[in-house]
Amino acid sequence: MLMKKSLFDFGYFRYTLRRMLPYSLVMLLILVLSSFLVFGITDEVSTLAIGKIRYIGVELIGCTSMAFMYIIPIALCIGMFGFIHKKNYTDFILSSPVKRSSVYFTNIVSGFVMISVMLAVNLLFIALVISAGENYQAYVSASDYILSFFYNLAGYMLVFAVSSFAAILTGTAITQAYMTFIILLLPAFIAAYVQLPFLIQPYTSFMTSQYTIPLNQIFLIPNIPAMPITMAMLEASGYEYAEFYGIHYFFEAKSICYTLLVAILYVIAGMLLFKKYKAENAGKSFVNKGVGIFAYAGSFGPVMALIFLIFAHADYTDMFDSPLFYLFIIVSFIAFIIATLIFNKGFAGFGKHLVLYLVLIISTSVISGIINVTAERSIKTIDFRTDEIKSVSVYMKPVNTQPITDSYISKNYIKVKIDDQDMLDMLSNGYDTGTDYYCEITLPNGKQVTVVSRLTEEFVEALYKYIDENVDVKKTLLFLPGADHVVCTSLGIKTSNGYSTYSSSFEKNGEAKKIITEREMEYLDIPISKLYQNRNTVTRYDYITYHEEDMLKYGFINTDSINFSLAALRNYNGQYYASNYFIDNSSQFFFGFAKESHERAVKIVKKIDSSTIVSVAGAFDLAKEQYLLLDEIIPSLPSVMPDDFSDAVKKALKEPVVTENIVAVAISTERETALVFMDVERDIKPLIDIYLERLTEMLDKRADEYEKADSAEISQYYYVDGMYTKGVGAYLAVNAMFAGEISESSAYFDAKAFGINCKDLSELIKSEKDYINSILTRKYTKDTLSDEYFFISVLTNFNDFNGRMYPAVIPVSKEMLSTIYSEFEYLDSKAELFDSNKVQKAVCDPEYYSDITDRKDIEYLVLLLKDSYFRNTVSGMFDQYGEYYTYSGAPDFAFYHYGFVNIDYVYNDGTVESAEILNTDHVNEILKKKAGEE
Amino acid sequence: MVKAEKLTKSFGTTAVLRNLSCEIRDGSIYGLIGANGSGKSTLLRLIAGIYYPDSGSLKVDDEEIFDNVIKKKDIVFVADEFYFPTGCTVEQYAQIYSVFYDSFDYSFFWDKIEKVGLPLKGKVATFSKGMKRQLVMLCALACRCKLVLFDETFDGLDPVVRNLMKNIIYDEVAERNITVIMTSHNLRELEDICDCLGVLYQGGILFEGDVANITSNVFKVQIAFKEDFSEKNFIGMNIISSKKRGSVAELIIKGDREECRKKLEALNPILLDILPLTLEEIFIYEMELLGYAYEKISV
Repeated sequence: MLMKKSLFDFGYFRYTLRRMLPYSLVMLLILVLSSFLVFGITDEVSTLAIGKIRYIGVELIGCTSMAFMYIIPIALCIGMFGFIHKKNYTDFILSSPVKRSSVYFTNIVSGFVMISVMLAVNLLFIALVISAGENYQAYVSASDYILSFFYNLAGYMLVFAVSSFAAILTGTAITQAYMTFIILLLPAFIAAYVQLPFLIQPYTSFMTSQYTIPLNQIFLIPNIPAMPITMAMLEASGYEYAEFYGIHYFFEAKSICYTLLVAILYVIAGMLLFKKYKAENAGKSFVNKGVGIFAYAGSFGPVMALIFLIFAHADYTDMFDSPLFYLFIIVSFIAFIIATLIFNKGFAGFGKHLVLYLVLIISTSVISGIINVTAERSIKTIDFRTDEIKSVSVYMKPVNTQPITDSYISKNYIKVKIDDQDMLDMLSNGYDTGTDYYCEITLPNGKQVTVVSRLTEEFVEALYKYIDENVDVKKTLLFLPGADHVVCTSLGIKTSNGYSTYSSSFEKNGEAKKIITEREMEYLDIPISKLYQNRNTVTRYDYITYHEEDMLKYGFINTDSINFSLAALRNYNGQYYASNYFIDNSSQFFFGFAKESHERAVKIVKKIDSSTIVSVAGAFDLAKEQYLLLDEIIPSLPSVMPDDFSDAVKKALKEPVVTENIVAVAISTERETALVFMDVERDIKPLIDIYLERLTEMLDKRADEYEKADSAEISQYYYVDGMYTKGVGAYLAVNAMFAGEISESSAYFDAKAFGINCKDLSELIKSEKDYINSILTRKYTKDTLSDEYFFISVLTNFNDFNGRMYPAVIPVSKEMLSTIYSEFEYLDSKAELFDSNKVQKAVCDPEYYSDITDRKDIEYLVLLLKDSYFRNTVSGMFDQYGEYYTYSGAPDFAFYHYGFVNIDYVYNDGTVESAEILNTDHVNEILKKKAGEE
Repeated sequence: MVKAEKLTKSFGTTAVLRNLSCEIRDGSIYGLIGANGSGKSTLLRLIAGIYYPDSGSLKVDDEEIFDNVIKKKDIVFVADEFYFPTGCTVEQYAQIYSVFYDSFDYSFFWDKIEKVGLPLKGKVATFSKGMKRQLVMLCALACRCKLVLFDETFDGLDPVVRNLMKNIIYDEVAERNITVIMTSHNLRELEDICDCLGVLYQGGILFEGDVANITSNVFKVQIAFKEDFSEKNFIGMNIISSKKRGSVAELIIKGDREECRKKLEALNPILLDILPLTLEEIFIYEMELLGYAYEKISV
């Protein structure tokens, strides 16, 4: 009891609360007002719209609180520890019968209570404003509210704890605030500053992790309050290293816990310090000279360092030539004078401080210079002096990987050691414009230096040759990371000519290993340069990256639900195509193998129970409250019932697929996505049947609705997107139909809006129901890819659920469309361009190449012209590797392999069509042939 | 009892108290006088547990006072400058004291507030310096502590109020046997209220004693004889100071007054006047005896 009393004094607590009440009310008012401005008045929220739902994530919910993270806790703390700033007040508090530890801790508790209440009230207010929002339907999950609350609470408490710690080192409000910032930010600054020169590399994608000293941990820099400053500093330096600094962990529980832990450490340290606090220091700027000097150094050091950094970054050959440099010096000097006046309350000791200031300038510049030069020398600009090199190990990317994340790369790159003197001599031939390689150089004394260097073409050729000749080395490069832990394997393999092949297996029968070994054997005969060039093997781990990207774009915002997406891969005529049955834009194929992936899927699927709403094709991408209306909504949307789907997924997890006819199912929940590999016949087909059944029902219903509808019920029935679309376009449009949105594809196509009569539409649907169904579930073949589809968007009142309007998107063929709208001529006009018979010649840079007149070449180039049209209009539909949406049929098409070349197509009538086409191998051959002729 | 032994306190390189030792008995009103910077306020802050001594010990009833909550409940300190929360009223100010002191006596407080005529509803910020001091002193007394510390006690009070406050303090000491330690740089302010006085000079107690003893045992004698005379004539008497103007001598004698009178009458003087000394005069002579000029100590 005595212990408790010595830490917390209820009387003093009451007194503090009463005293601070007016201050905290003012702060709360400011907080709430700013929230009102952000959420209530401005359209800030709507800019984060995702589809129909405005995604208000944890970051946005907490933004107003976050904005005041450096103001409110410090202001509160200054008020709370205000007795330290005035001698008479210090006398009053410290003479009163309350233990010092109690005074300190009770203040902390009071601050905690006030901050908690303020943040909670602000969040409640935000929730109210959001729920009352008329202009948008917002969805915020309860967990996001909670996360935001604790995130801000942790940040506020840390700033408050640091400020209370700073109060004991200082004696005035200004110096307390000043010291708070220094304690909070200086370590972060130093950590970032030391690392920055090593980070400022345009190509340190994986080396950063090697050069990263965990200074943040050493200096007890919690992410939450220090992060914005660190980030701002990095941003100001011109680089974005958000990921490097773990900004994606910003809102995680461990970040919050760590911040709170550091806050507790500061509280303990402050309490111990306060027990010995000398009351005679009340009202002084700093309790002693040492602290004062620390404050000076802590502020002007960074100012000078930043100046240095800016100029170092700006790549001035001589920063002393820049007038800006002197401007910064003047600004810092003015800041120095102001600080001196604040600290010393006058010009007393000005001379001494001036000396200190000059020492800081010089020392900071020297230290900065050393750091920069060291970094430059150790990484950037090392010159090879081969007589000083014993060996060099070049970091080579494993052939069988598709690197996605830095950490993945840094873990899996393979060092190829070269100690052949002839090869080493090649290093001294200087740089060329080749690729950057990370090299670990071993000096004669055994010291190792890691550098980033542009190796000469000669050296790289020799290196490849060396690898090809050394089977063991080559095997290491063919190594598949994680192969020893494979549970479920699905290899997406792109062969040298660009065609995809696909196979899968499971570790339980050793097939994964077998496949890998077979691939290795195959590849051993292929020159490594060729393997690198074509990236023959693509083993993908991209779900994380993709998903994160996806998060931003589409937002899996229904944290209480699980979104299922289903993708099917089909092989027709020796070529694989993605035919997507129940696709929402978030799901792509996830080739890959990983135990982690499997485990994740198991973990997610375990969450599926009778209360889980399963959504196929993103159809239930709904705000939480809309789930209450699911009974109404579900029948109106084509879908597979939750139980059917979850049973299928569970079954697939239990009984892994071993056939080749598999599909990858992406399962996403909250912030993670997992893959389940399912058998088409066994798992998917039954689902498709259910789906088709429901789709038919839906179409019937829609047709009936349109038939009965009058203009009042169908508010904008004339709204139609005429879209020239092929496989992927269809997929997007179908998806849009289910998601209740206007197809994204409309943004990529030359859309033409025209009006139709809703009764005509109804009849069309009824008469062509089977055909429409076949479009929606089409098995695309090479031939059908040339079909043309249109999607009619119909915005009707029938599709209004809980204030959310769902446009119905009805797919039709060109012929069908022409029955209700005859004036559409878009495609015909374009089709002219793609008839190779009408092209007399192709011209590429007449200065170097002669005209291309070979018919086969022209045919090929026209294919690429078509591809170019497609790509230019639907470029957004290519995924980041561009490999799924091949359409043109160009045999060596592989979007990301090539550059582009400009070709003029001269038609028989003399008209010229210019296009930027892919510079594929074949195009290259054509052009080389032409150049050779010259 | 407050007992300081070899108490030392420095601020930076400046030693304010140097090996100060003193004892203040319970139930007394102890006056500390000294010039500005002599260490009066520092000593009070040490007793109040605000400062921590660099060396030496300071005990109240044989207990260290620093961060000793139980003991500090019996001590209340009124500084020379007061803290008033923004916009607080008389009642709110009393409430603050009552938060810290469970024994706060509201009836006493309101009674005395009424007696001194302070406005009950007014904001303290609008009060004059003297009114603020009255309020703080009454709050302190209402805490019912055994040890009350007043720094620059009567600063800013007019003579009427000063007497009123003195009476209140008297009554408190008489009724509750509390100990009051008060400081002033002006001896005249304290001489009629204190039982005991101490003079602080350069960080130490230069001189201290009971006021009653001091005033009754030190007196001025004007004496003349028919014949010439010198100090030798007064052997056996403790003469602090002597001056001779013509045939009349002026002696400051320390000792029992009646005994001295008898001794002096036995010398058959033609003139003998025994006059009382003011406390200030006594201090001047005592200081001179110790080799200090009084002006340096008091103002």
